[in-house]
Amino acid sequence: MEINIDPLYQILRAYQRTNSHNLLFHLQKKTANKIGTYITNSKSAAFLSVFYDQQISMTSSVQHTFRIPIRLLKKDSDDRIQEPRSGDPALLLRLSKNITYLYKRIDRYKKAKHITLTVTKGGELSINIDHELRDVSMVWKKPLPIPAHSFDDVSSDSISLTLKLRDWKKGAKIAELSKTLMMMFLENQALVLHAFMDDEKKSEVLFYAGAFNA
Amino acid sequence: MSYDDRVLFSATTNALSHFADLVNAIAVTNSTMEVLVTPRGLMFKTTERGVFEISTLLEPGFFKNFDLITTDQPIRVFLDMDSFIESVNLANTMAAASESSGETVQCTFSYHHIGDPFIVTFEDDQILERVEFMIISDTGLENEDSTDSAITGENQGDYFQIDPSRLCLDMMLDSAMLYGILKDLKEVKTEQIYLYCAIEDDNPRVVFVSKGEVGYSRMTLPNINNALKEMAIYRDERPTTEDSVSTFYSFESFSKILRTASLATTIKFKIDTDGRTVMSLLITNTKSSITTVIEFKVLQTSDLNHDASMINNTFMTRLVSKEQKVSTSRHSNTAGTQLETLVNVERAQHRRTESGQDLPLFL
Repeated sequence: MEINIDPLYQILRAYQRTNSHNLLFHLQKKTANKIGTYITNSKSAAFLSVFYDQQISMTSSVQHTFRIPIRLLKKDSDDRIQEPRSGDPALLLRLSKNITYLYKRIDRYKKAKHITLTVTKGGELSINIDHELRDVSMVWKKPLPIPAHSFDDVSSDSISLTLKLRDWKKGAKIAELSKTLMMMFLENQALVLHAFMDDEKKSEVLFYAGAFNA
Repeated sequence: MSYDDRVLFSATTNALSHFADLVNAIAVTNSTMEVLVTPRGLMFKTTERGVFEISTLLEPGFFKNFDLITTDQPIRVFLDMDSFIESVNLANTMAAASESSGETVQCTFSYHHIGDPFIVTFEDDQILERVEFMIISDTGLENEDSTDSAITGENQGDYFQIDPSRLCLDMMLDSAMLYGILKDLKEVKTEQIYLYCAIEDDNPRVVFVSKGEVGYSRMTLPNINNALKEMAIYRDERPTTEDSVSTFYSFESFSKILRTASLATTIKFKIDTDGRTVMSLLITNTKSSITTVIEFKVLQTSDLNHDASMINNTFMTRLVSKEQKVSTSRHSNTAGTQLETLVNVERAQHRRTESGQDLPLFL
């Protein structure tokens, strides 16, 4: 299924901002006898219904109900959406929490278009930002633990990857919110961020950024 | 070690915030930042050719280490202003954020050999950021026969250099006072600024006159004993007790020191009889208690062709005299001074120009 993320985001924001509880999600199929009462002009066959109670005062509360149309995907269109796969040897790095500091730092460079990430066998992570009139490089001073055999299939002593800065910055937001962050290098293919958003590792986000090959 | 392996210049400091203050204050043109390394220190300078230059010299003592291999040629490079300022400011903001956790940022300037990029690194506990700035050519220089001046390096733009034998004014002012005055004059849309300094009956007097949209206005330094720390007027290399010195500047150029004046505590003026003006603004960083100087050199641009004399200029003497008619007078916002709008000035001047005779100004 496919859902427009914006209305869902707005609802969750409203829920968060107000004194609300009992957040409920229902995935509902459109049934014949309910059409007239709710969304008549939508062609969607299903909805994600969201309910919550907002506490107005000690004694009264309001129940909010939202219905977000959902597009159910047929099998062939589902097949067309392909997740990038990691065929080539991948380098998996576990990043420390304060790496977001590095993210923030890069975030401030507004005019650059691309960045290049390089990881050496010794665990040195460096990032290059190319400007017209200057060349910026940042090195994370503490070597990152490199899993054994990571470089077995790599001919050189380092792996590099060039990304669009815009893509990197989107990933930066996820990195900032995450509790545990892994970075996967697929040389000349993609950078994958695997983030766990809570300590219990119950929710996770995967972020793919395709490599830029000039 | 071969020559190629040696680093011509390298210097490291912890005083990044102070450095950021200084370079932002002198970044008043949108062209290039000049970097000059000599045994006297590391100098940053911006110039508007033939109009003004503003520079700051960081002496070797400013740095934890200052290593320079002196060769025949001083190191003199030009960097893109925007890139340089952006990088310094980015590093400084990040440093301010990490300072709360007790970290300090080490800032190193280095230059390997002639033709290489100029390198600045910012290093804290976690990240080493290295920025290589391309060396760009200063277009203003190329048109000039620069073979000789390039070698003398620091003495470039000698025409800004005060001739000590022709010094006519030497004074020290409170910088906050000057800052307030400049801000007020900016508000009344000043186009030309005239500075009048006099010793009248052994008492010093300092008046700023503005010429702009609303005509002439004047601002007299109040509490002169607080604001004026020192003043001497020279005639033929000897201090005098009766004369006045008047100088005239385009406000657009003069107000380039606004930002510097807001940082500084004291400002020293030196003016010679050709109207060459050097202001040295003393800046003490409260955090690091390091004191540095920003030097602003400007040439006077007289628009008073008929009476351009600097000593006892009759036009100026009338403007600042107590007999000069004043239409309105209001308390200024920031400087605590009295801003007086002068009347009948233009008319008087016109009469005088048309007739070509020395008519009294207030007829």
